[in-house]
This record gives sequence, C-alpha cells and structure tokens, in this order.
Amino acid sequence: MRPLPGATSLLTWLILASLAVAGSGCAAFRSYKAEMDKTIALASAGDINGAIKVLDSNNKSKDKDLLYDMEAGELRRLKGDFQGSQVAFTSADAKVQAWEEASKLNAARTGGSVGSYLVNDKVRTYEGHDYEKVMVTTLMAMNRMDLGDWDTARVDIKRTHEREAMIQALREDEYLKVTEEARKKGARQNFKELNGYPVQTIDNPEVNALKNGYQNALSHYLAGFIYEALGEPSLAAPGYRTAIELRPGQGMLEDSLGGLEARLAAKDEGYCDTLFVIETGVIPGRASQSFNLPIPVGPQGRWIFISASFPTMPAVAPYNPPSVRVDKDLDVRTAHVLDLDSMARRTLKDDMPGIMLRAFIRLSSRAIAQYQMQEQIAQQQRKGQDTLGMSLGLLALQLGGAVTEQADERGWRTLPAHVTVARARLSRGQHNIDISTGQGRATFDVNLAGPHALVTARLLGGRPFTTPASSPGMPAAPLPAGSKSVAAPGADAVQVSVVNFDYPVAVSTPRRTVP
Amino acid sequence: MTLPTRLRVPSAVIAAGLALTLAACGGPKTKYGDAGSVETVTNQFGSTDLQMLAEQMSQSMLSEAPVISSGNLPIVTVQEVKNKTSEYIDTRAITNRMRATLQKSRKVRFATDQAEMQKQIDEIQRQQSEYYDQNKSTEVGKMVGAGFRVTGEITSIVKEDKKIKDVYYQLFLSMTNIQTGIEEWSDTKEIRKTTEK
Amino acid sequence: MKAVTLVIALLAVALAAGCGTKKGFEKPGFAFGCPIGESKISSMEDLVKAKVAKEGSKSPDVEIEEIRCTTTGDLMKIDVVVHNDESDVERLQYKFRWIDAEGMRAADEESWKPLLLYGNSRQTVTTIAPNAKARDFKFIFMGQD
Repeated sequence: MRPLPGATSLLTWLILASLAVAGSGCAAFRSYKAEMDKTIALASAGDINGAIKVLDSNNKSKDKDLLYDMEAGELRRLKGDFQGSQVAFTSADAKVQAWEEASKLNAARTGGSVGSYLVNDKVRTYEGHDYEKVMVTTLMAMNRMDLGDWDTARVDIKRTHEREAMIQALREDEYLKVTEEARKKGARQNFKELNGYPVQTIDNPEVNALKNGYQNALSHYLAGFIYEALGEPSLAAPGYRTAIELRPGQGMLEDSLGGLEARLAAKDEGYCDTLFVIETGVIPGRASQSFNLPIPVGPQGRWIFISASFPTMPAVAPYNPPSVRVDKDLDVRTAHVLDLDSMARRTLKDDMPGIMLRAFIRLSSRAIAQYQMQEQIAQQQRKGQDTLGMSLGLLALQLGGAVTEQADERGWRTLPAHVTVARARLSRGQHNIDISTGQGRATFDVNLAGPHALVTARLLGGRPFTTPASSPGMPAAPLPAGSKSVAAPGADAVQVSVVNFDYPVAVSTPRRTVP
Repeated sequence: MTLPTRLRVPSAVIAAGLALTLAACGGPKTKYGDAGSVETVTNQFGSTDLQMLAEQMSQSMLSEAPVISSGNLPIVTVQEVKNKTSEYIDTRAITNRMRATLQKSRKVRFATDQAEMQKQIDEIQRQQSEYYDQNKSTEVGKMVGAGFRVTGEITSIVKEDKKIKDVYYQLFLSMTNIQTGIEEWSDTKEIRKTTEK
Repeated sequence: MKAVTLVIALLAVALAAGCGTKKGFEKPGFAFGCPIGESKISSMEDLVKAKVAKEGSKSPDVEIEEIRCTTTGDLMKIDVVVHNDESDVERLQYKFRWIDAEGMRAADEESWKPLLLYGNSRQTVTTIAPNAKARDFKFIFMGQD
C-alpha cells in the first residue's frame, strides 16, 4: 500500500509537536505576562501578601525556577521581609551561578537548549536576562545592608562586579556567532524586517545610548558607597568612576568621586552621610504578538509567510523624582543611575536576532510541510481527486502551529523601571523626608545614626505603605512612633527602609578619631 | 517501501536528543593549581599582576632606598595607595604582599597603619580595663611612630578595538621621611597586557 | 704606523681586561661575583650551567648569556642576561630560587614572572635576594603556554 504523502507529513509533524510538548510540560501554554500582571496589580495596590499568594499559586511545583525566586525575593523585600527576601535571592543566585559555570565551560550552550529549536523559546529553562543576574546580587547587597551586615554586603557587591565582567566576556563573541549562523542559514534576523513590529519601543536613543543591556550604574555606585563606608577608598573610587562612565553628565555622581578624599579625611562632626535609593515604577514586560515571518521554500526559493509570535515591549512613560526634600526646606538633587526600562528594551533588541533565528529554524520544517501539502492539494485538485483529508491535515498543521507559537514573555517583572540616588550630609537624628511621586508627595520620617546611612524607598502605583527602618550592626528598627508616610490621594505607594551604618561609630572610624 | 524524505526531521530530533545527552556528561572539574603560575584568563588585573608588582616594588625598595639598604631598620607606615583605574583593584592586597616580603627581609619594621589603628586602640583600651592585671598590661602612650611613610597610586590605560584589548598598568610608590618631608625613594613599575579577541 | 700600534695596544688592554673579568676570582668561592662554593667554574658557560635550570616540557628557544652578582649591604644582587637569537618572539616565565648557607631554602618559592623577548634581542633580568640568609640561587625558566 502506498502511504498517503499528506498523511506522512502530518504524522511527522504530530510526532514532532507531541515530543516537544511532552518534554516541556505545560510551559508552552503558560502566559507569564497574564500571571504577573495580576501579581503586580495587587502589589501596587499595597497588598503584598496577596501578590505573594498569587505568585505561589502560579508556581505550585516543588522545584521553583529562577523566575519564581527573583519575583519572590523582590516581593518579600517590598514587604520589608529582608531575611525572607534573602532566602529567595540566595536560591536565585545559586541558579545563576550554575548558569555561569555552564557558560564558562561551553559558550555555545548559552544560546539555549536544543529543545527550543524544535518548538518554542518558552520551553527553554529560564536562564535570566543579564541585567537580572546583576540585579540579584545588587539587591542581595541591599538586603544585607538593610539587615545591618555591611561586611557581607561587601561580598555581594564584589560578586556583582565579578559577575558583570564574566557576562561581558561571554557576550562579546556570542553576538558575532549568532549573526554568522543566521547569515549561513539565510535567515532574516533583523526585527525591522518584521512587518508591523513596534521598532520604536526597542530602537530609540535611550536604548541605543546604553553600552549594553547589563552594566548597572546603581551596583557600581552602591559599591563605591559601601567601600567608602568600610574605609576602603582604593575600591570606592572605581565604583563611583564606573557609575559616571555608565551614566555620564550627572553632577551628583561626579561630586561623589571628586569629594571622596575630602570625605575620608574629614573629622567626625556628628554628621551622617546619607544615601537615598529611590526605586520607581515597574519594569516593562515582554508581550507576545503575531507577525509574518518570511521563509524561503521550494526549488524556486519562494517566500512563504508563516505566522509567528515575537516578543514586543509596550512603551511606558518614565518618572523619576528630581529631588529629595529633607526637613521641608532642603532639596537634595537626584541622579538617575539605573534605567532598567531601557535595559530591558536593549536586552530584547539584542536578543531579537537569536529569537528570530530560532524561529526561522523551527518554522522552516513547518513551512516546507505546508508548502508541500499545498502543492499536493493543488495537484490533486487538478486531477479532480478528493482533497478533503488533505485540507484537514493542512488546517491541523496551521492550528498546531498557532497553539505552540507563543513568544517567550518571561522576565523578572517586579523590578522597578528606574532607580535614582541622592546623597546628603545630614545631622544625626530624626529627619522628615518628602519625595515627589509625580502624582503627589510621599513623606516619611527617618532616624539617622552613625556616619553612614542608607535610605531606600520604592514608589509603586497605588496607596502608600511603609516598612521599618534598619541599620548595620543594629538591623531593622521600627520607625519611631508617630512617623508615617503620607501621600496625596492617587499617589504612588511608598515602601521605605532606612539603614544606618553604625559600626565604625562604636569608637568611631580610625581616620576620624586618630589625629 | 522507500522512506519518504520528509521523515528526515525526526532523525534530526534524535540527533538533537543525543547531543543533549552527551552535553550533560561533561561536568566542571576542580583541581588545585600553582598559586605562583602565570595567569592569563582575562586581561583584568589578576594574580600575576599583583605578585609581580608587589615583588618588583619590594625588590626596588630593598636595593634602591638608602635608608633600608644601610641596615638602619627604619620604621615605616603604609598609607593608602590610590586606585585611579576603573577596575576594582584592592591596592591593600599589593601593599600587604610587599609588607610581608619586606618584613621577612628583616630590613624594615612596620608601624601600625591607619587601617589597623582602631584595632590597636581597642586592644589597649581593653587591657586598661579592671579585668586585667595592670602590672602586666600594655601602657597607654608607648606606641612607636613611624619615621617613614609609603604611599602611591595605580593608574591604567585601556584601549580597545574590535580585535584587540590593550591594558597598561602603572604602579607608583614613594617613601617619604615624615620628619623632614624628603622623599627617600620612589619607583614606578608597569605591566602591559594585550588580548586578541 | 702610529695608529696601528695604538690599535694593537688598545686591543691588548681590552683583552687583558676581558681576561680579568673572565677569570673574575676576586674571592675564593666566587665567580663573576656569584657564589659557587667548592665547584670548579672557570668560564661564564660553566657558571650559567651551574645556576640555570629549565623546568616544564616547553623549553623556549633562548640562551642565558651571562650571570653576574654583587651585593648591596648584605643582600645579593643578580643580573641575568637572556638572549633570543631567533627572529620569532619568545614568551617565557622565570623565577629565582634562594638557598641559604646550609643548602636549605632561604625564602618562600617565588611566583613565576612572565617575560617577553623580541626576536634577536637581549634582556637583563635583575633581582635582589629577599633576605640576608640567601647565599646561593638558581635561575629557573620555562616557556609560557
């Protein structure tokens, strides 16, 4: 018996699809964006516990993935549960370390597991975007500071710049490899060639001004601050210097480097060098959208357009507070050190060639099958044969593709979109802090002790809430009674933590007391 | 029956599966190495640079600084060596290594430096407390000050194009007589590293 | 004719001076300033043979031409002239090993120091003993991988 040609190709396809789906579990059908939109809406409304509950209900499996760890870490941090946040980030960090080891061993592997060539990027193990890997240790350092342990924060910050250097070495030649492979396979790998792709959202001056998608001026500035607080100017200077290189033209950053010597030489006169870290908004997530990908098939190299989904990123208006008002009359200017919004877009832009190449390879076999079936249907129709079975096969093929072709929307969604820093030499004791949220003002009180302090605040859409203040050597002390944060109706929620770096004060730092 | 050509796709699946299984076999291996070997993993400031700079600088001090080579056992304090590069170079690791080498040469003695001062004061104060036998405790006001101070800076020049990354480091150190302010010794040591991509 | 005699005279002086340094036995137990102990060393080649060791499997194509020693205070100072007589660039690494009067190790093992030699070039490696206990040394080198 002669096998039906159409049936064979259908069979091939079904094997392929079922193989891939079986291998991936339900990952291919999960919409990360939908899951996280709900979580973030709850967090923005001030219901962090509710947000955590939703996150947990979406991740019931015992083996939590990197994404869960990162989202959980950030949500717990928002709640002021620095200990719990650290547990989640430590788990996330272990996964990033495993990735680091594997990539050092085999640079080619970082392109993703073979599985995704066959079905979808979504079934790949989530390895994290580069800026996320850097943020994990940066936030771990901030958690440590919040817990009063600045010495261990130093370890985390050191790991952050080591990780950054490792990623840099890895990415340098990887981009070249993808371009080369795409060229060999004749794939269209420029997203600008996707009809209707919102090019502006990932190809604009802010995005292109970034040196890359992972170098993080916040972590470098924080490194400068921590090393300075620990009395290590030789390590503090490169921290500030790198921050300036990454975010040039901001006076506040330049003053931090320029004044380093003077600050270290200064006598302790009862002031507190206070660093404000203000996080605003929510990083944009990837959203799956359908486009027609041209694929060459047949002996004449005809282009067949196959519908495929690619990640896009909706535009979001940025907001950064221009200053921090202290005690109602002192305006401390801020510096915009971290633009995670642009970094996410830059990462997507850098990822697009690889995503398109994988889609091209994945869809080529389907394009060929589709082309051959169409040819056969046309042939049989010419001969006046029944084409019903064949047409059903074609339909199944196209439908199957539509189900499995959903772009990978994964990414750490609870991160802020922007981070600004401000720094002021304030007298020790209680101060009133007032930050413009764009829609109103958020005010809260802080109690500063010791020569260095860290005050962090997250402005998140919704209603205001605060967390206890903390300090190194003397962790998380509740805000003094009567202090509360106030925001105008409709203003952003504020999550605040205050850390006072106190341990050199025990007998004060050497260079301050010893003439 | 001939195999339809379209069935080639599943064989690709098998091949891919095989590749995955094979890739899983080769895990990372850890071995102990020679701490003194020449390290060229990346062109960032590395262990060989630290060892070379520290060793060459201490050799220069031993042979070129008259106050040391005369065998007078000068007392020296090490101040901060400024890091003017964009790299996180712990200059204290360089000066610590130099200190250890010089100490062992028995040509130099080191006084407590700024970074160690607080610990020194803490310990003296602790011994002054009522729990200690005051006859055997360290007295206040007996510390010996240094006659010379060592300070300096490290700078770098980094140039990079598509094919080559070139890094140049220069360490400058000087030793000054604290009493007179006269510079007794200074030297520069440099390192150039080039990486072809 | 006068010029010729002058040249001959100069040559003679130079030769005598050369021989003087070549013998160089300013003290018994020393050659070219370097400690040699009981061993009989009558030429630079012998001294190089006694003081230089190659390690590792990759031996670089270089020649150790000269070794000279002196002292600053009570510390031994050493010059080693390395010569690359090929036209290719050579990359090697070297270190000194220090030995005390009893033949024991006088200091911790040094770290390897990289050295680049251009084609047809000489370089002088200098060092000073880490302490006064060091009475003898070995110059060790190998190729860089």
